[in-house]
Amino acid sequence: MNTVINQVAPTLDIVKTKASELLAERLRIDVIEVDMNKKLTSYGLDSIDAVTMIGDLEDWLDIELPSTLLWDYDTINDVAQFIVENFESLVD
Amino acid sequence: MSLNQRIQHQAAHKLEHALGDPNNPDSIMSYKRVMELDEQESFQEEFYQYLLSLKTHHHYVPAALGGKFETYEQLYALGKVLARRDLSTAVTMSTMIWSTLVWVGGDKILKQHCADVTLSNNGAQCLAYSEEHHGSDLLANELTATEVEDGFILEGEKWPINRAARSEVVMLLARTANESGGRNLSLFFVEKSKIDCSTFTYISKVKTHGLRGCDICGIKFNKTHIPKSALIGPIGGGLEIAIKAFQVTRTLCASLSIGALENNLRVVMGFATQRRLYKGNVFDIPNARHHLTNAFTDLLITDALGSSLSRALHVIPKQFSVLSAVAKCFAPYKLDQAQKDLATVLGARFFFREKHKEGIFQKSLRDSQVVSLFDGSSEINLYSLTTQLSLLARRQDKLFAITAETTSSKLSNIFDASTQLPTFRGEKLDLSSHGRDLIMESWPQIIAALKHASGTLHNADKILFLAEMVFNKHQQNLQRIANHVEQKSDMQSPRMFKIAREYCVVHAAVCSIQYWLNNTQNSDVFINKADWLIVGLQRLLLELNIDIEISEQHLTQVSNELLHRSQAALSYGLVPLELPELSLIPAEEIA
Ligand SMILES: Cc1cc2nc3c(=O)[nH]c(=O)nc-3n(C[C@H](O)[C@H](O)[C@H](O)COP(=O)(O)OP(=O)(O)OC[C@H]3O[C@@H](n4cnc5c(N)ncnc54)[C@H](O)[C@@H]3O)c2cc1C
Repeated sequence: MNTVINQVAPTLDIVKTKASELLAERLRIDVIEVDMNKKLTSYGLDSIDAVTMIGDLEDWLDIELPSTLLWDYDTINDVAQFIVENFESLVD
Repeated sequence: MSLNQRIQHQAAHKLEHALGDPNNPDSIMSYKRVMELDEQESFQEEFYQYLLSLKTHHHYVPAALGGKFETYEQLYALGKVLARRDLSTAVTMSTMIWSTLVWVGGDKILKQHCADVTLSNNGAQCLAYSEEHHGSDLLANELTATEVEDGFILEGEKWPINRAARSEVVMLLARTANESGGRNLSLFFVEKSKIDCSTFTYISKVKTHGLRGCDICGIKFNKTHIPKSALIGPIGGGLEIAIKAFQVTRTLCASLSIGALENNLRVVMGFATQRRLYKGNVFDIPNARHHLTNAFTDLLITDALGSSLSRALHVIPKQFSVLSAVAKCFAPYKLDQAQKDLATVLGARFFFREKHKEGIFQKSLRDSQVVSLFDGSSEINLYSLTTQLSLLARRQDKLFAITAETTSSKLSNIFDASTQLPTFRGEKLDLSSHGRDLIMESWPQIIAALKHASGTLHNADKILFLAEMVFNKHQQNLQRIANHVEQKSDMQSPRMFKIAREYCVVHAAVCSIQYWLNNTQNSDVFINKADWLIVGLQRLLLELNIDIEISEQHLTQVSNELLHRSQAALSYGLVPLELPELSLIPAEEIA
């Protein structure tokens, strides 16, 4: 897994792409099937997948995300937006 | 100052002596009276009122808000004393712990109000999460709180709820939204004396196998109006606050299992040393002594885990999504088994509801079995661990690969019981530890410390040998988890549940070794000589399917101490407290 160096805020597109890949990987579906505006719960993402996906994003960006992120932001678009907008405060 | 004189044990010691010798029928909580109430399935009102007169409930309210609560270590020690006497009373008293929901999620005004209500003699609380048709599936709950202009309207029922009828405050989890997801539920501080009593009824008490006198019933709301000020935290914050409060209460559950075993071990030791057979006594029979010694060892190991984790709540609260699950899975699982082994030693008297100590053994055994069920069952906690294993493994794998030694002042603050704990900060609790478990991460530090201590600390080389085996097994398990993740296998498979269970066992080993390493200045000779730790680690290795033989001499040292503590009326935990019992005089024939 490649880590973002120097803690520079990633672009929205990069985060959306990565989050889609991670979701596809969790759900074992093709990444092109991921709709960035669809509710994550409607994919049947369970709590283990959610915890692991947050962990993957944390590892990738070397940040700490709120544990309730996927309760409060429930589409890939919203999650990515939250990360980009709050990046500085999320750096551990 | 020796540990038993330290502040964390003072309230427990005082309470022990206020309750008197349970063998004496004139004591307030004598075995006789406890059994009478159990037989009648009567609520323990007289015990509860006595505890209120001792201001026991003040220990659940932070000192800053007018109560006596300072540390969870203190509350853990008190929990052991109450559970030793009567788990029904302990479970009744400890519903006060649900004030934690307000300390964690409430605003300043509600916190002070909750403190005032809890401190009054009329402020008993109950926790109302469960619904008959949904059990552990809290997100499926149906009881609704509909927002109106001047508050909320409640509709629906909760069952089974301990103290639903005998409480002033209902800590209620209710649905406030219809979408799926974690923001559907909200928490409310419902004061019964302030709502229209014609709008709620009770569902009658359910017959139980244990806790027979407890008020386990239900409550049904019918268009009940509650004020806006009853809301704890934000709308939609219910599940988050509920899970965080569980992180505290699940950790403290270990004290209930230990207290119940403390009682039953003493009861069976009384029998084993006084029952004359074959020109000796039952304690002289090697296999009976073996069961008793093992139970004592398991109690010590669980106490190391329970007391350390109750301290850790103050030091690393952010990691309690993992640590509370470990405490909740390990303590009842380990000690329920010890109780069953003790039952075999008690023989026929195990089956009687009278005679030896009024038949208290059976009752204590029955009652203690509930600990693995409530507050989220052991299975739910194992499930919760399985959700976190991949992150934990990922981090620990990295750390152990570079054999990074965690030299953290936090670790010594957790394990050195003579160090002062920081104030508990509930706002730091987190639904995920983000892969962190400082205690488990301390393995390289433990191995280094044991190597260093070899030659200076008694038995350090033997402990190192056993510790390395546990650590190897743990590393194998981390590898298994990594493979499982790699192959995208089901993290909820029975195999992962087994690994989660083993994670708890390894944790108990870490806590026990760390406790021993960090308290040599404060402990007595028995704890320092570490025979208990050698026997304990050998027994934990058995749980990990590794069967190692250890020298008989270690078992002998532990059984000698068990006999000594029983005869000198000292408690069986890591810090022996003087008990109000008359010392055992191995003479009279048992009925
Ligand atoms: C004496 C007593 C007092 C109680 N007091 C209270 C109280 O004061 N307040 C309150 O709110 N509740 C209380 N409860 C309810 C208690 O918390 C429930 O036991 C809990 O809600 C679980 O429900 P259930 O036992 O019906 O099991 P269910 O949730 O219906 O589970 C059935 C089975 O499925 C398993 N299971 C469920 N989910 C999972 C999972 N994710 N992974 C693996 N296995 C799973 C369970 O282990 C069990 O074997 C009390 C219960 C008892 C026995």
